[in-house]
Amino acid sequence: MNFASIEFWQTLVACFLISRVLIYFAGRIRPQAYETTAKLSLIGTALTLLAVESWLTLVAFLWVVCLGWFSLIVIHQKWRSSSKQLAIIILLIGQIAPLFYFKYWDFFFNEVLKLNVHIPSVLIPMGLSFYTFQTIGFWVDSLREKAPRPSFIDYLNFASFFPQIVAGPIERRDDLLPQISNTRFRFYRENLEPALPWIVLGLAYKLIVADNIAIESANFTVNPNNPWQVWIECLTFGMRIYFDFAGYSFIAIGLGLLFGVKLTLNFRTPYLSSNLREFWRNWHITLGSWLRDYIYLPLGGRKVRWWAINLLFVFFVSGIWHGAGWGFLVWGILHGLGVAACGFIKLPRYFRIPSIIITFLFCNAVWLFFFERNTAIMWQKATSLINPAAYQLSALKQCTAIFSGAGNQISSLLIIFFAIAALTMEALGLARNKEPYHYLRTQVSCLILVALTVWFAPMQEAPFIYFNF
Amino acid sequence: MKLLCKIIAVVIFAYASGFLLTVTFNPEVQFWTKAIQQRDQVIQKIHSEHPDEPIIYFTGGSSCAFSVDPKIIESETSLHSVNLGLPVASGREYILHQALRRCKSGDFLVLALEPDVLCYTESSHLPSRLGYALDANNSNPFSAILSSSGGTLKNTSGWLSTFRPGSRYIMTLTGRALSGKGYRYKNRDLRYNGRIETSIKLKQYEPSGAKTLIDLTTDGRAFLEKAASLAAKKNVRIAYSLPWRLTSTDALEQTRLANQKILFKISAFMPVLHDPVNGAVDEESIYSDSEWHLDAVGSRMRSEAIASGTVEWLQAAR
Repeated sequence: MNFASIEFWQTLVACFLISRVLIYFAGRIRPQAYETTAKLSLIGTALTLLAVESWLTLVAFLWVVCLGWFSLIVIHQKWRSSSKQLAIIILLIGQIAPLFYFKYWDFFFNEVLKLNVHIPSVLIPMGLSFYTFQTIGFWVDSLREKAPRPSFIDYLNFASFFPQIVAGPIERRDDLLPQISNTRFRFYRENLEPALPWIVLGLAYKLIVADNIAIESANFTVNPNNPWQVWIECLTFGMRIYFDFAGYSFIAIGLGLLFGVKLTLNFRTPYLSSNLREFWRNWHITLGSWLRDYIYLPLGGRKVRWWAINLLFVFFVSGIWHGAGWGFLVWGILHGLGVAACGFIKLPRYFRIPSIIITFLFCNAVWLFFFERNTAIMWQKATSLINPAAYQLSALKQCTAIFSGAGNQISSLLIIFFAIAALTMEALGLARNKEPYHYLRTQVSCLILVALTVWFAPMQEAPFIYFNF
Repeated sequence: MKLLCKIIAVVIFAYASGFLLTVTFNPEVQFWTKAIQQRDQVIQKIHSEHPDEPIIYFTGGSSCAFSVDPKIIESETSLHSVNLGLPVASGREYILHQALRRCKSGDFLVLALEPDVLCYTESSHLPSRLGYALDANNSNPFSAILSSSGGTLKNTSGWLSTFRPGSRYIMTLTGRALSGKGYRYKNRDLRYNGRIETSIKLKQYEPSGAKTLIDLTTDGRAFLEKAASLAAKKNVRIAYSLPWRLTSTDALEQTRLANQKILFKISAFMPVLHDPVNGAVDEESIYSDSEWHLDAVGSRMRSEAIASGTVEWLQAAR
């Protein structure tokens, strides 16, 4: 479900038009069927979009979501507590099973346990990590709040709402279900004005910055012992992953608004955070709050003496959620240590600007563990980053050797210029206490971004980077 | 709705300006358009003065444009000759299409395509952006699509991407405009009957290393078969000639042997012009601005070499 591809929009428009025709005739023939037809059309559209990706994506989704539904049924049964618990545990294992099989099998059995048990190599079904967490969250919330079980159609629409199903935001029952229950899968003209700037901003972030960085950085040649080159690599990846993921989230918000649903904003200028705690309140917000509400707080949160260990565990899970590899684990734990350190270190207000810079550099440096898949090179690069002796003038003079040629260098600098311009606009909005991304969503900005996207978007389509998670 | 209308207007403006940037104001397209116009003028003149005489056309990538001297071919064969070589980025289908479009019944066409486009990669059937741009600039934007040798229609996203400049192109164009350099080749580089010649020389060449045995791709075979079939339909005799690539001395014999084997495979689809060096030369001094482009001396050498091969072919064809 690549929002930046023409095929996605063609499929969506086709499904929507067919749905509107069906809803219209259903309303004429049997007015009481209007609402159900509308909801079924929305489900049909979502399942079609999933099936277009692959049959495996559709089957994995239906498996996870149906087991989530059975969990809801079990919750509302008047069984003995032990039987209910056992059933829920079994269903939970069943829900997580596809995630474990497609994502973690190889790492767990072959790298950790060294058992050499291989499975056929298959792409991870798109969105698996996201909708697994979302559906688990749904029935846990239902259990905690003793909330009534919704209709299967409403539950399915909650689980499958297409703008957010493959890469978030990870929505909660209380936020999304009431909106989904009232949806009639129609186009809200009154929401065009707020929705379009989000979609345009998302496409601009993705196509102008993220995709171009991906193309240019693919031609980089990095000397792992040159820290300046490693910094360039980390910073370009940091820009890429932010603009890619934030771009997707903005398009999801805009699409949701077009159909009358307000989704949660998943990013709030995270690279302008003054510490890691603030960073995680502004980066992939819905994942952070999910981990906080379903893992951190049930473990005691900050109220227990071993809160720092709880925090480390949460970020360990966050690292694992992103990917099956030692690098992801290290990335998660480093962030956990950083967030835990925020609990002990309180910096004065006048230190805000340096804090922002330090937080920005830290976050980008640890992306190294995210993208570098060769373990030996990863540690080589990490060592050069933290070794003061490596920061020689001679190495600095060599830093442009990372580029494959003048064309690569100039194009990379141009895209970084765009990225910096965008971050500057974000900072301006933040400094003036405006709504998130305010200055990038004005009408003038929107029209400028449209033109820039047409001119600067690369020729080849690239999937969103978070589709890998 | 006002915002949506404004966005649509900006999209149209952006695409239109992108088209102007990538076609009308593209220095590469401007140069090759001029070359095509010059060649068409020559062809028109020949047709008007000698309407019944066949023409020998040479087409291929830029290696053809830089290496085949029609004057030498004419002096050896006593037939008119025109060089229709274009940048290989135009796409092999377009390179073939624009040549066949100019051929009439009884003409001869030598396909001097770089072997890489037949042997190494599965090439797209789609007309390339440069091919479309050249046709668009010659007031014939749909010729590449509608012609049976032009390839297949692009999908929607292909069309939407075709005339968007992209960051690399905009930076290159801006840089060259600011520095006053413009395109590498100038109008003064246009020579007799379509040949191109540049005085630019590289400081250092990178000769090709030893080639292992390569083969035609499935795609390459299909292309050669189509080329032969389309030529036959127009009663045009078609043959293949291997371009001369700068090769390192120690790889020379092995490369010539590998090339000979490829030429043998190509000969299953069309005659192959005899070439004493089998497309591999180790003399740097006869090359100009790339390892595929011959200078004036190199062009004379190659033209003389294939002229005799062309004469043999013409005699066999008659």
